[in-house]
Amino acid sequence: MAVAIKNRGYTHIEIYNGGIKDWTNAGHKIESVAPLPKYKGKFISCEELLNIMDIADKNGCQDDRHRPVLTILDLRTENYLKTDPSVPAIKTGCKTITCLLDDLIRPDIRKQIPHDSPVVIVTETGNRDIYAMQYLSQFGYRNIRGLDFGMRGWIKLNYPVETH
Amino acid sequence: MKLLAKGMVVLWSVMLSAAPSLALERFNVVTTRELHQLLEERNAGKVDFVLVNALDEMIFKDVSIPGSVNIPWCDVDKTIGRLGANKNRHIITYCVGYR
Repeated sequence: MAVAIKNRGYTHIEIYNGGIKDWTNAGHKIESVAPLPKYKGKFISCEELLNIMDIADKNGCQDDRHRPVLTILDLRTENYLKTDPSVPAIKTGCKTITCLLDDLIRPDIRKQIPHDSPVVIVTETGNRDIYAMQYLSQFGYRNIRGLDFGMRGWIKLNYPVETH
Repeated sequence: MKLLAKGMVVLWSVMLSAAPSLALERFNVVTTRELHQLLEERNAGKVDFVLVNALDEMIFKDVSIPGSVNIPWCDVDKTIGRLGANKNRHIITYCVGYR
């Protein structure tokens, strides 16, 4: 983000690296004008996702009633904006929904997200997954998991990726 | 990730521009204590800076540091005006935090 601002001509930019996490851990006040529902979302590891994907891909990613057995919900900004064609995505034959986190307020986007089969959120580092899970919980979603360490973790483990 | 003392931090960032490329950029890091101090000084009218929450609007509305403006990384061009016209103005950005 700092780079994006700098690219638009701003010259005096610093970064508060600790972010929301360090601020709240230090006991400082937080503002919440539109709180998300309280929901304890769960995460899976990259290894677990890889195992699920391997099985799903071998079965065409569908069950015997042609329902998806796995859906990837890719909320990465850089992937959505496609400013760099070399940005990798998780390589899978399973359904992938690519959108921005704020797009989840759109009913036409949510309609694509199944309620009755596993859905795994992919963000850059896994930091924003919980907010998506909290938001979607109010629509009855209990089948959604975050991905520990996000795409960064996936790439670090040299798991399968593809570029567009 | 280890907390770093105030100093230069090398961050890999993706340039959001018409000619995307990986850019090696260096930005000063502000600590929690320093930010808290700066906010107090700003509230007292002693300093001026913009505190930018770079997260999605949904997250910003759920949790933000008081006194922040929201400039989502995914929507920079539409919201950059919130920084004002002074390109030399002091800006501090933040997200969820390091992982």
